[in-house]
Amino acid sequence: MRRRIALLVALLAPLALSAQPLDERLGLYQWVSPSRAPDVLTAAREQTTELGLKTFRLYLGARYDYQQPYLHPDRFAGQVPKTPAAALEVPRYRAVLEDPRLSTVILTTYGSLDYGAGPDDVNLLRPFSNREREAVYAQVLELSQLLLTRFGNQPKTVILANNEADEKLMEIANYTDDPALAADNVVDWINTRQRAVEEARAQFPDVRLRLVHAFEISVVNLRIAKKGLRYAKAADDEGFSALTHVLPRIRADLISYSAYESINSPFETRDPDSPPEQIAVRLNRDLMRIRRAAAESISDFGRSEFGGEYVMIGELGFARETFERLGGVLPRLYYALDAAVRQRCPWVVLWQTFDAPRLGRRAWGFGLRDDSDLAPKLIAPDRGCGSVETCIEESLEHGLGHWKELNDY
Amino acid sequence: MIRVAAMSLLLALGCGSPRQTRLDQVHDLVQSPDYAAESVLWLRALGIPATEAACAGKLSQLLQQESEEPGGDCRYRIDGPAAEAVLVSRNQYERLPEIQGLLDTEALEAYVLWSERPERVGFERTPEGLRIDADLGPNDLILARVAFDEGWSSDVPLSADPIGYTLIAPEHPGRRTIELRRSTPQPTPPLWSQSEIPRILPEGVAQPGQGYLVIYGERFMPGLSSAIVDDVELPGVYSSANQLNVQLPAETTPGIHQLRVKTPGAVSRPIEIEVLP
Repeated sequence: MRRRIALLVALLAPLALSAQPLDERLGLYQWVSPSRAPDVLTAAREQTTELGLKTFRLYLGARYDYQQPYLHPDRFAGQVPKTPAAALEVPRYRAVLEDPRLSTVILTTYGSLDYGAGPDDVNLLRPFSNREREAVYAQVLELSQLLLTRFGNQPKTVILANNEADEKLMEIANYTDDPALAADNVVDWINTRQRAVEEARAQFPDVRLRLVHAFEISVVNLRIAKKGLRYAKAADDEGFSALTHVLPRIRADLISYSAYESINSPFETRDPDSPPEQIAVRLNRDLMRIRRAAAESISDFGRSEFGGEYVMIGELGFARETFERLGGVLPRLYYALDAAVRQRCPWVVLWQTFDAPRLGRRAWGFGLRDDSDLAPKLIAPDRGCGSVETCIEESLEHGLGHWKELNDY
Repeated sequence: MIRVAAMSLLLALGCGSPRQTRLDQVHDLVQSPDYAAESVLWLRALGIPATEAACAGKLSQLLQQESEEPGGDCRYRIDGPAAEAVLVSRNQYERLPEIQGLLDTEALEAYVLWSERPERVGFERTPEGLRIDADLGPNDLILARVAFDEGWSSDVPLSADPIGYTLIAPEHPGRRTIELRRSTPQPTPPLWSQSEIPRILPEGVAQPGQGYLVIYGERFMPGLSSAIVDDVELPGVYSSANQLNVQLPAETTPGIHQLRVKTPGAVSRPIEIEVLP
């Protein structure tokens, strides 16, 4: 009988999710940005919820405090928290979890260790030792327990995620010239996090809060391959990626896809000047590829909660500096969002609320709001929606199709 | 202004008098109206957190403006991780190219990729010099952003990195405290060459027809660039600032060859190309 109920729940869960309204499914991410009052995190949360979105993603760790610049020595007023759970006690972080307007909070979070200059994200550039493993397990367990006790009676979802495993693989490979070490470290690290989350869930079986552990990747068709002296993403058959070399060896509740490879340009040409409507074709193809690759890696919990729809979009966005010259951000964003929703991705997170700082030639201008706190005016027809913000507002009120109709795509 | 910032940085790190000559060159580069990307690379390489420059000038499109100063300049933030001392890769260090000059962007980019690490280690100024507290992995070195030519001694090997900062190379991994004491100053390094060094872009060589190469890159000189395949110099059939077309000699055998681009006064780093049959 119990198995039948479990099966029924597993079958019905995707139906419930597919009916998940756009405001719960769509969210905003905030990472580093120039300072804002009262702080970047609170300002981004307010911006997200005032727009009517109920999903918000943030970083919870030792390197950035949403008040000082990234890695600033005075972050957290010089008292960098030793664990993610301790960081969550800082009022501006706790306020995110307590905000009744948010139904899903995604925490990009890492365990911390002291390597000489105070707490820092656990170092994956060296063999993942017992010391790192124990710290990650204990700190993710502590964070999970805190979430399940303090917020356990709330009907929310909290997702613990890493940031783009492929970037980490590439970073380790470049640092060590040892791709096998890179894959082994990420496998061990992710499995340790999953075990901690599963242990915490087992300790609190009757809570309303849904605690999920997601594994984030960013490479689907490309591979990380050595080009000259460095490892880089390349359209090669040789090489490795999280999809091919990590995913088959881990267990997670959910897969998060940081979708730039699909949406920015065809991976074969890497030319961003391609028709916006083709983004949907590429994203559909890649989401299906990820689903197939991850099928054996999803936990029982993930299967019961998400059925076959266990791939979310953890990051998605278009740099104004690149795409406004190529016909516009708005049509591209529309086709990407439409494809993600049609593919029933349980969450789609836009990068990001406020523009990041400029740094050299890196792609810039992803923000829903610019440095003047204005919604940047984008290429649009005379009577259409002319910014990401207004297009989202229209879509929340009238459905995503209204965006297409308004702007006559 | 950059000179002030860089000197302040070095003085703040307790280095005494900074290496004037090369810093002067960087200062002049940043203050010039040209070479915006190169200027930002140098600021990042030096680990300078902020600088002041003209508000509508070349840096305004590449760096975050932090504030407007009373004199009409703007303060720009260089938002990269740039602590006084960080862990860096031993493996990558061994493959870093030598910086051939002030405008050697290829080598500078490699340096920034290597040095701009977030893994800080403990750094403290002491009456005798510096104290570093670090937990090292098997592939870690320590980059201390203090000028090597000021002269340091320690019980671990020290050397100058490609821009002249101090590299500490403990022989064993693990947690340790390292003392650096002021010692005999080293000779000041010579000025950087100011030549515009040509660069072949990664995957920037096409072979559209038999024996014909199209080379894409930066800092080629229109009408004055040539290619060197192995040791044979080939004149350009066509050359612009970013493209050079050459005809290979008929006797060039199919297979792997070394290619460089030569301009008056400079030669690019070699890359390997496969000449098709």
